[in-house]
Amino acid sequence: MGWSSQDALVNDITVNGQYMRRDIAKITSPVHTAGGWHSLFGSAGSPNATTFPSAQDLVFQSCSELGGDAASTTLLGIQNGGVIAGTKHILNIGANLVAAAGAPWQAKLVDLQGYHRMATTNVTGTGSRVLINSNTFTASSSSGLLLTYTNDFNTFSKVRFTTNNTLPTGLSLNTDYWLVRVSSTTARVATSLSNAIAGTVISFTDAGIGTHTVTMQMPRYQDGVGCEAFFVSQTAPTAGGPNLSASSYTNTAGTASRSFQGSPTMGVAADSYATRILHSGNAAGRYGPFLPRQGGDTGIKSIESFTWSGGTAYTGSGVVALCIARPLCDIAIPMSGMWSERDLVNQLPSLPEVKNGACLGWLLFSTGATTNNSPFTTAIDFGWSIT
Amino acid sequence: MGFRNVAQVAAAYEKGRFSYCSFRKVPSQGTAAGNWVDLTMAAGNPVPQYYASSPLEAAVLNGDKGIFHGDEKSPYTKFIHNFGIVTPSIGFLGQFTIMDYLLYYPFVDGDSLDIQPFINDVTLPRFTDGEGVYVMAVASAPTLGGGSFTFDYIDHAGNSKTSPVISCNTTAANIATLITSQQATVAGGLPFLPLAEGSRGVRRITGVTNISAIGGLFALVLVKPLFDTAIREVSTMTEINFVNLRPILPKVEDGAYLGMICNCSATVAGGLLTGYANFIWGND
Repeated sequence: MGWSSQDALVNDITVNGQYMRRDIAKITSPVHTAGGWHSLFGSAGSPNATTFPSAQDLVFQSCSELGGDAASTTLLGIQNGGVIAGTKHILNIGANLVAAAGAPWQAKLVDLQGYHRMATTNVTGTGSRVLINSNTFTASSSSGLLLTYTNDFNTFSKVRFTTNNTLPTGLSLNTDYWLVRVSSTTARVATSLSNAIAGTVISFTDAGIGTHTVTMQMPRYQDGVGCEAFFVSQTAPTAGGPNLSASSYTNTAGTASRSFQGSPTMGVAADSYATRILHSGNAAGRYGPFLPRQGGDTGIKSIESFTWSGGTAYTGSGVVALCIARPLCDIAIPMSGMWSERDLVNQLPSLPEVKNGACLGWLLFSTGATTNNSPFTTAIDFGWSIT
Repeated sequence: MGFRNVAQVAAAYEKGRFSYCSFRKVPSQGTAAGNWVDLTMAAGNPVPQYYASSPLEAAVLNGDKGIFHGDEKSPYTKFIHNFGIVTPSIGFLGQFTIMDYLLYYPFVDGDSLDIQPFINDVTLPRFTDGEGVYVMAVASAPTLGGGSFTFDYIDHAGNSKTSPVISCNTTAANIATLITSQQATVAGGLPFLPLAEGSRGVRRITGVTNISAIGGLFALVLVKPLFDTAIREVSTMTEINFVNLRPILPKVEDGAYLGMICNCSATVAGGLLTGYANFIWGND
């Protein structure tokens, strides 16, 4: 869907009221390093800062507008109007940053699909970190079909099911479902995001036969088309700066064992502080904001493992998240206090689509070192058409 | 009723469904670079207002005394179609946010550490569920610098919430300055106050508590931002034609009090700001 003419857009905005504006304010802290990218999901302001929590390290935590981050209730994304029966688009964006130093800046709006959190030895170790994207489960009856598994998956996670025999009645292969989290090891299942939000879940008929598996999906981009990955520090390790020496991900085409390129270096303690995208920066081996995908790949369906070795291993008790996000649009802020605008209908007619449930947030690039506690304010105009 | 197509937007002028307003502001209050300042408190036209009514009691502003957009147009719907703004004063270089001022709570005592409950005999006159309604804190008597506060409110969904603790400017904020807008201070630099988890707006505020003394007096103001613009150099008018230069048409509710805040690049005291707005309303 969308608009077939500017007339249709004018009609939807002025007659049907299908328009919404959101104001966002974040505070950069600590000082952002020159040439570095930073994720503002973890910065104070509005929306509230996330700490990328997870009950268990390495488990994929799907993110959505309304689902919070992991088992906590923090809504980390920019609220954008919930689920609509049509398509929602960004019409216009504006951004401003007031800082004594650091200009010019680039800001990139992304839809955060989810993250794998790591702490302690998963940050400091040099071995392979095997990421968790699926669990086997059993089915039972508890106010509907109840799945019981090992790890703590976030509510509203989009999933698919497989089995070595017969799935429980109500579940089908190659079909998307959404989890409604009940506890750290249980969830009910809905057939759509709208149903999941409404609490309308699949009824229990039987537990199926055999061993079943639930597998996380990118929540809004089928097979992760267009999705990118980045490591972001939430709590700085004490010291160190390892290289991403090995990795394995599945691309949008379903090909496994793909690897990020260039042996990106994660940077030393001096620039591994909170909100920093660890592999961005000026030196050789730095890539920002996203990890270079293997040649020909058009997206990331899932990340299975990675190894940090070489360079210097991290020490201390840091917290790092490996995020998967879909970039939506960009805006440049040429100087401090300069309100910049992008008209995405007339000026850059891209009208980026905001998928239902999108977890929106900003990544920020600083050309110079950006002064501590600088206010970053943005406004986004959304419009939508109803199918 | 709005516009079904671009032709109907153009036809509004042929049919006489338009109005025009100029404005001119000459603030006397000094402000600091990078702070936000409330220009409804500046002298000029429209006439200034000072959030002067019974302390801690919710009150509304008279829409006819803001940027003048004419009388009520219901059942039609009124929109801003063109907007221009210009200054010869470097203090006014920066961002402007044009807003509908909905409701305010005057004369919060910045020194008291007791809870200051608000009286809500008046409710939101527009955007009544509070969706997308933000709060700003404006000095009505200069603060001392420093201090922090929190406030209790009913959010867009009708839930009682308490805001995070909000730090104020570390240096004294003059009258009309948004007291949370100083850059490079912890939790500062924000024109609008952060809300608690899950709140998408504010329906009413029930009370405020200073965590540490702020000094002076301030008002909490509920606003609905409509659009932003900026002046990037002196003596050059910034003009927006909505639809063609900005793909929205900001809706002006009947009774709206239109005003603006500015993220100034230097003090605005003694500066001059002028501009205009065109309004059009819907189809037959």
